Amino acid sequence: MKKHIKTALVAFVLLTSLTVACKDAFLDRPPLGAIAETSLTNPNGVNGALIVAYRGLSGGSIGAWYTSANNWLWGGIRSDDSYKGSEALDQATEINPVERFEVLPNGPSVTNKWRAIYDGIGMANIVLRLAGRTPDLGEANKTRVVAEARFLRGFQHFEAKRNFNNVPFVDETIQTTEEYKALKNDQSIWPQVEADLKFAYDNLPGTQTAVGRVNKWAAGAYYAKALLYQNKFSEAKAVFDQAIANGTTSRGQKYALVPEFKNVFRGEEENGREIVFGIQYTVGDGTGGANSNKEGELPNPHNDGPGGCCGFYQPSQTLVNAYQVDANGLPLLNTFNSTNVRSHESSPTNFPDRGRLDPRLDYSVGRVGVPYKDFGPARATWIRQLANGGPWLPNKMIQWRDEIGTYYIAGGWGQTQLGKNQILMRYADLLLMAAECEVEVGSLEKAREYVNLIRNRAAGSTVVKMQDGTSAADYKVAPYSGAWTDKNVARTAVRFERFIELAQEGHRFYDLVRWGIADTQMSEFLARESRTRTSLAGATFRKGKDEYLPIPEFVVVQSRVNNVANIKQNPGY
Amino acid sequence: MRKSYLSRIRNAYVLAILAMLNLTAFAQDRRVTGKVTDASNNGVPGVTVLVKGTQVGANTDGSGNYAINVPGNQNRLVFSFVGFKSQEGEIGNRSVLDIQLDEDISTLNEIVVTGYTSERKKDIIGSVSVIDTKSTLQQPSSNIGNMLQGRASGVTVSGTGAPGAAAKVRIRGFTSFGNNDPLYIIDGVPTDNANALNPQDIASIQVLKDPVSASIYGSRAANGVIVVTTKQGGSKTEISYDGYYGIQTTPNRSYPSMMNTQEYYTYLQRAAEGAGIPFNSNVFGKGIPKYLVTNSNFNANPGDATNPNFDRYNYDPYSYDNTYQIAETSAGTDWFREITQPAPVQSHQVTATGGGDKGNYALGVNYFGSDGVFKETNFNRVTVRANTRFKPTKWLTVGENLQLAFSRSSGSSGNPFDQGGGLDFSGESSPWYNAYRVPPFIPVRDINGNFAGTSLGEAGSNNTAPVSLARGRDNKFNGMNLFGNIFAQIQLAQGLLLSSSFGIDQRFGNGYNFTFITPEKAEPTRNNNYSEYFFRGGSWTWTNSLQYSKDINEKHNLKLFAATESIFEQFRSISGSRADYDFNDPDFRSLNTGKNLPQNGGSPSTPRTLYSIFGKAEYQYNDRYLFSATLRRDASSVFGPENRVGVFPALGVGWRLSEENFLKGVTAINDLKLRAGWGQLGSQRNVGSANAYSFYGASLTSTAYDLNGTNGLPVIGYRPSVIGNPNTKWEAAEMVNIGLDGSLWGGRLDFSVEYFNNQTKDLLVTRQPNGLEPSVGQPRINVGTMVNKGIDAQLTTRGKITKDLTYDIGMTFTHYKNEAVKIDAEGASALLFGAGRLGNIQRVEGGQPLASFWGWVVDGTFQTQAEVDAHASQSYKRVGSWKLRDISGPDGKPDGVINGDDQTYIGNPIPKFQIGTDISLKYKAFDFQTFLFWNYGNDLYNYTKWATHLRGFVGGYNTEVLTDSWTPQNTSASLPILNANDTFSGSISTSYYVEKGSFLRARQMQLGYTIPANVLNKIGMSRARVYVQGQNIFTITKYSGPDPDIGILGNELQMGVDQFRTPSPRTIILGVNIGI
Repeated sequence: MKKHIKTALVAFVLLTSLTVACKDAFLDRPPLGAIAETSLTNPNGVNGALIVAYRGLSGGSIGAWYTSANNWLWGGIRSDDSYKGSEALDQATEINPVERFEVLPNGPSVTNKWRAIYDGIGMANIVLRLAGRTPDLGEANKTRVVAEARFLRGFQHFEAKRNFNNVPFVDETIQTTEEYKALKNDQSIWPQVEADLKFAYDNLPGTQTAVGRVNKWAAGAYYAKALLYQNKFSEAKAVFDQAIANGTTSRGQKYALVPEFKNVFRGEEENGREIVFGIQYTVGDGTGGANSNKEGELPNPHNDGPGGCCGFYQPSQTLVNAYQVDANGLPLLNTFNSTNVRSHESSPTNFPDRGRLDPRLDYSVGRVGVPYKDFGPARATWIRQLANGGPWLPNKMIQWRDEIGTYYIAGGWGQTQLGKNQILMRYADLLLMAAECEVEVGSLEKAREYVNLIRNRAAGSTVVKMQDGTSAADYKVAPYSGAWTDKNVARTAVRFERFIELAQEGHRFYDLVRWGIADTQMSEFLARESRTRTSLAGATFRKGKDEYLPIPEFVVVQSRVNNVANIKQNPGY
Repeated sequence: MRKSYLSRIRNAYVLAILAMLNLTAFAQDRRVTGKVTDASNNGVPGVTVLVKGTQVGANTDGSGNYAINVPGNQNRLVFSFVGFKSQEGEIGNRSVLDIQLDEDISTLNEIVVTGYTSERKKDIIGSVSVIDTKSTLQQPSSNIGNMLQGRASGVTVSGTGAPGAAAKVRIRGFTSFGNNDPLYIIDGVPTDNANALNPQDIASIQVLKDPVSASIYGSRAANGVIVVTTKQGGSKTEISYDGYYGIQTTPNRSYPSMMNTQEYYTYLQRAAEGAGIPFNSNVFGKGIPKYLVTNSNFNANPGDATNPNFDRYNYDPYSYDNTYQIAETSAGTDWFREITQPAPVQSHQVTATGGGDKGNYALGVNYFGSDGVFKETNFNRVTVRANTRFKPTKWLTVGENLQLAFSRSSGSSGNPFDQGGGLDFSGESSPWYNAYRVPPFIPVRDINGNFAGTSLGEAGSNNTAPVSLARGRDNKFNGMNLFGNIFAQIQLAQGLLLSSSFGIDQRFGNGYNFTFITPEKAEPTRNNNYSEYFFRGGSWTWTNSLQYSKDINEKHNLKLFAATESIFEQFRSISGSRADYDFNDPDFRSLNTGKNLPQNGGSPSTPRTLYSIFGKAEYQYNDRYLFSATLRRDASSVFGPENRVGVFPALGVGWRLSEENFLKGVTAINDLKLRAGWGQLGSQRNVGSANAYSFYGASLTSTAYDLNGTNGLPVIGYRPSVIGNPNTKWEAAEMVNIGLDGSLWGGRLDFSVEYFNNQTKDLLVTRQPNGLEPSVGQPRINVGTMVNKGIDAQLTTRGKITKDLTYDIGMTFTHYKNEAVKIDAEGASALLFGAGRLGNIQRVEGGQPLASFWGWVVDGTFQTQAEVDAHASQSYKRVGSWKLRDISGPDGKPDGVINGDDQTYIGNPIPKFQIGTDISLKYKAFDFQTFLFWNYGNDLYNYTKWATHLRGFVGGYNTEVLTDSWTPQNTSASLPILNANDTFSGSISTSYYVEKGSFLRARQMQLGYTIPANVLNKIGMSRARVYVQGQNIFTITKYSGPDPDIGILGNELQMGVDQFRTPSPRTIILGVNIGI
C-alpha cells in the first residue's frame, strides 16, 4: 500500500511538471489592454491614427509646456511684444534663458519643443503608412486621409524649420534606426514642406465632416505662408488670392472678419468664420484637463485675476506704446516708442492712461484700472510681481467670466484648465500676409485695401467703457485714407498692422526673423526695456545665432555614426 | 543554529535510518544513558551520539539526555553537534556517561544553503558570503536590506531614513543597466522584493555572488542571489520574546545652514546690486516688515505688507478668495527643524518553537512600528509566521513556511512594498525639498494659529513643508503580503530524494489620497480631489527536483541534482478619483461623496512566465579535489519565440590544499582551499513582459482629440504605446571568480579573498529613440558590453584574550571597477540623463564608469575685465562670473568658444572601496558590539545645491551664498558674483555640484548584559538579556549634503545624485531578549 501511495505521488509530480513544460501556451503572453498595429489597417484604425496626428499639434504626448504650436514662448516672449512676466525665478530654467538669448542645447524647453514637433511628424507618418496598407479605405477617402496627414506633417516641419532652421525632413519611409541616423540637416527642407502643404491644398475638400479637420483653404493658407517665409511673394499671392476669394472654414462658412474685434477670442467663435486653423481643446470630458490647452494656463493673471494662476506672458511696454495713434487714428509708425503709455507702475497716482489709443489695445492688453472683459477693472493684485513682469496683463486668450464652466474649469494645482481652442491662423492674419505679398509685388493699393479691412473692423467695434459709461481712453482708429505710393512706407504700415492686430498671438519673433530685422529690433528692444524690466539687463542678441534655437544636444549625440554627427549644431551654439 | 529545512530533513532522515538500525541491534547490547551539556551546564538537545566504529546512534532529547544500546564489543561513544567540537567518551563499566561539549569556534562544518541544496561551509567552491546572523540580527532594522550593509564582502547597500523603506542592495557592482536588485530566495521561494519579510524570523542569510553558486538560478541570478531561511522548530520547546524601543533623530550634520530673514534680505539687496539694477521688492521694499499679508487679494496696496487690516483676518480652508491671512514676519524659520521630530521605533516579537521526531513547528508574531523623522508620517507592520513540518512516514516529509504581513503607512498613499515607494520621499515631492523651497521670512503659523503660506508673492509657490505633511497624515497605504510555500519530500531510495515545492508571493494593496484646497499658497489649488486604488498580484513558483548523493569508499563523493521550475507573475489594479468635496473631514472621503464626475482607471499587467530545467553535478575526491557543474535552461515569455531560450552553464573547481601532504603537517592551518569558477548568468528582469510586441493604446487622457469641436467628449484615437523588439535576447553575464579560503589556528582566523571579473554582454537597455523619432515607449534592446572587476575579501578572527574576555572581529572589503566597454544603443552611442530640473548631468558611454557625471568644468571666477576679455566666448561672462574651461570644439580642440563641446566627465559615482568592520567583545555576562562602515573614493552630485546655492527657484538659501559668492574682496569664492539676473549659472551642470562622497560611519554600537543562568533557572527562564544600542552614532565625511550614504540610490544609470531623500536618523534603542 505504502509503495502505491509513493508511486502515485511521484507520478503525479513528474507528470504535471512535464505537462507545464510542453505547453507553449505557458510562454506565449501577448500584451493585455492594447492592440496590434495589424489590427489598425481598416478605416477605423487609420482614422484613429489620424486623430492622434491632430493631437500632435498640442504637444500633449511630451507632457511639458512650450511644446504646442501656440508658441507663446517662442514667438511671443522671445520677441519684443512680451516679457516672461510672473516672478523672476519661476520657470527660470525653461524661460529666462530663452528670453535673454542665453539658451543652451540642453535647455529643457528647447528639447521638449523639438520632441513635440518630431513626435507630431511621426504620428502623421504612421497615418501615411497605414493608409498605404488599408485597401478598404476607398480611393477618395484615402486621398483625403493622406492629404490631412501630409498637411500635419508639413505643418510640423514648418514649425521645425522656423524654430530650428537646419533640420532634416522625415518622411514615412524612414523606419529603422539606420535610416533615422542617416538623416542630415545640411539641406533646406522648404521643398518638402511646400510639397506636403501643396498636396493637401490640391486634394482636400473645402468642407469637412468634422470641424477640427484641416480643409483645402487652411492647407492653402499654410502653403502660401511657407512660400512667404521664402520671400516667394508672387507665388504666395496667387494662393492667398484664391483663399480670399473662395476660402471657407471646414464647416463651409466663407472666411470673414468677425464684426466685433473682441469676439474673435470668444468661445462661440472658436470655430467661427475668422478661424483658418486652430487646435481643438476641450474641458468637458471628465479627464481633469487631459485634452485642455495646458500651456495656455500659465499666462492667466495671478491671484484673484481671471484664471488665477501664474501670471506669465505679460505684454511689453513697446507693444502697449504701439497702440498710440495720431489725431487721425493712424499709428505712430516711427515714433510710437518715444513716449510711454502710462501705467500704475510709472504713474501710481495717475492711471490708467486715457490718452489717444487704438481701441484694440484694451482687448489685447489688460491695464490696471481699465475694465477687463466682463470682470470689471483689472487690479494690481492680478500681477504677480510688478518689479519683474511689469504693469501689463495678457488679454486675448484669457477667459471671460461668462465662459467659466463651459470653456474654463478649475484645475488641480491652482490653475484653470482651458477648453477653448488655440487659434493658430485667423483670417486677419491671412489678409495681412497677403498684404505683405502685395507690397512686395508692387500692388500697394491692394495691400492698403487689406490693411483697411482690418482697421475698419477695429473702427467698427465697440470700445471698452469705464464704469461711469465713458470710454476708457480717447480711442481712435481709422483706415489709411491716402493712397500708398512708397513701397517702404507701405511695408512699414503692413508690418506695423501685423504687430498690433496679432499682438501676443505667437507670431512676432518669426516675423522679425523672416523680415531680417530681428537683430536690430531685438537689440533696440533689450537696450530700451532693460532699464525698467531689469530681468533683461545684460542680455544681448547676436545676429546669425539667436534667430534660431540650438538643436537639442541629444539629437546631435544620437545622430552620430562612426563618431561623426550627421545632425550638425546650429551656428554659435 | 544555522540550518535549512533541507539539511534538517536530511538529518532527520539520517536519524530515522539510525533508529531503524537500532531496532535490529544485538541481544547482548548494554544500555547507556547520560546527559550532554554545554559550558554553562545547560543540556544540549539534538546531539548525535554514535557508537564508535558502528552505525549505531541516537540523539539527545530536549534536555540533552540520551539513551543508547551499545553492542557488547564496543566501548566508545562519539558526540557531535554543529557548533561544538566532536568529543569521544569511554564507557568502561559505566551505564551513565555525561559529557560536556566545548564550543567549536570554527565554522567550517556549518551547513550552508547554497541554492536548491545545501552543503558544508568548507565544501563550498562558489563565492558565498555567509552573513553572521548572530551579530547582524542584533541590529534592529525594519527589513533585510538594511541589515546587509558591510556585512558581506562584495555587497553594497544604500538606504534612507524613511520608516519601513527598503534599502538598495548591489552585489559586486552592476551587471546590468536596469534593475540590479539581487534575487531573494526565501525558504526556496524567489522574490524580487523582500521588504515585507520580518527580519526577526530570519535564521540564516547567504549571499551567492558568483556563477558556481548562483547559476542554478540561471536567468534571475546575474545580480547575485540572497538566500534566506527562516527559523524552524527544533526539538526543544521554547517561547521567546525579543523587543526593543528606541528614538530616531535626525543628526545635526544633516541640517543645512540656511539664511535667516535678515540674511535673506541682505542677499536680495546684494543680488540686485550685482545685476546693476535697483532693489525693488513687494515684501522688503521698506525693510523687513513686521507683518505679512499672505494673500494680497484683499489688500488695497499689495506692496505694503506691513499694513494689514486686522479686522478682515480670515482663513477659509475651502476658498482662496475668502482667505485673508496675516502673519508676523518670522526672524528666520528653519523649515528643516520644523518638519522633523524625534521618532519612536519599536518591535515586539514572540516566537514559539518546538517539535519532535514526527514534526516540528515555529510560530512567530511580530509588531514593528516606526514613526517617520518627518512629522505626521509612520509605518506599522504586523507579521505572522508559521513554519511547520510533518514526517508521517519514514519516506515522506511535508511542510509549509508561510508569512502573512500586514503593513500600513500614513502620510503617503505610495506602496511600501515597492522599492522606494511609500514614505521614501525623493525629488520634488520630498518634504526635505519643500523645506528648501520656502524662504525664511514666512512663519509656520499665522497670527491665529493656522498654517501660514506663500501667497504673498516673492515667497515661492510651494506649500510650506509642515502644512503639506499635516494635510497628508490621513493618506494611507494598507498592504497585505502572503509569502511562503508548501512542500513535500519523498525519499525514493537511499540517497535519492524527490522534492516538490509550490510557493506563492501574493500582494494585495489599497491606498488612498486626498489633496486639499490650498488657500494660503501662491499658486493655490482651488479644488480638492480624492483618489483610491486597489491592486492584487504577485507570482507563484512551482519547483520539482530530484537529488541523489552517494559516497563510495569514503573517497568519492557524488551529488546529483535535477529540477524543473515554472514561474507565473501578474498584477491587476483598479483606481478611481473624484474632485470637488464639500468637506475636508477624513471621515467624509470616499469615491462616492465628491461632486465632480468620477474617473476610473486600471489595467492588467501582461503576465510573465518562466519555465526552466536545470541540474547540478558535484564530485569530491578524497575531500581534496572538488568539482561542480551546473546547467540551466530558461525559457521566458518576455522574449520573442526565436530568442526565448537561454542556456546558462557554470563550472567550478576547488583544491583543498590543506589536505595535501605538504601542508598536512602544518598545524596552524586547519583548512586552506583554492577555488575557481566560470559561468554564464542571464538576465531578463529589466525586460517588460510585453517587450516583444509593438502595440497601440487608446485612452481619453492620452490619445484623444476634440476633432468635432464639441467642447465635450473628444474622439479617441490610437497611438503606438510601445515599439516592440522581438529580437531582444538574454543579457548574459560571463563571470570568472578565483578565491582562496583559509581557516587558521583552529578557526581563530578565517579568511577569504576573491577576485572576480564579470563581463556582461548584450547589455539590455531601454532603446534611446533617435532625436528624429516620435516619443513612443521603447523596448529593451541589447546594446553593449560592461565589465565589473574587483576584489572581495573577508577576514574573521576570534578567540580569547583572558579566560572571560572573548573577541570576534569580522572585516569585509569590497572593491570593484566598473566600465561600460561598448555602448551602441541603436539610437545613440551615449546615453544622457538629467536630474530634477537640470538636464544632462550624467552620461553613459563606452570607456567610462556607469553613470559618470557630465558637465562643464568651472575654472574659478573671472577676477578682472582683462581676464574676461582674454577668455573664450561664453554666455554670462563678466567679472565675478564662473570661468568655464574651454575643452573642445568642432575639431576636437579648444576653439575659443564655450558651448556644448566643452562638456566633459566631472565625476565618478563608484567608490574605490568599502570596508565594514564588526567587532564583538564578551566579558562574563557583558557583551559589546560595534559596526563601522567606511566608504571611500566616490563622487556625489549634490543636486540639493541647485535649490540652495544656485537658486533655481525662490526659496531658502544656504548661508554660503552670502559668504562664498565672489566679491572684489572675496576673490577665492566658489560661487559666482550675486546677480539677480544670473539664471545661467543655475541652468548648467558644472563641476561645482560634484563633491567627494567618502565617509566613515558608526552604523551601530551595542552594549548588552545577559543575566546568569543560575539566576534565570530560579525564575523559570532559559535566557534573558538586556541591551542598549545606538545606530548611526557618528559620520565622518566632507560631503556637505544631508547624508553621504546615498551612493547607489535611484535608477542605476542615475546613481550618486543627491535627490532630497530622507537623511538616515540616529537611533538610540533599549531592548530585551527573553526565552522561557
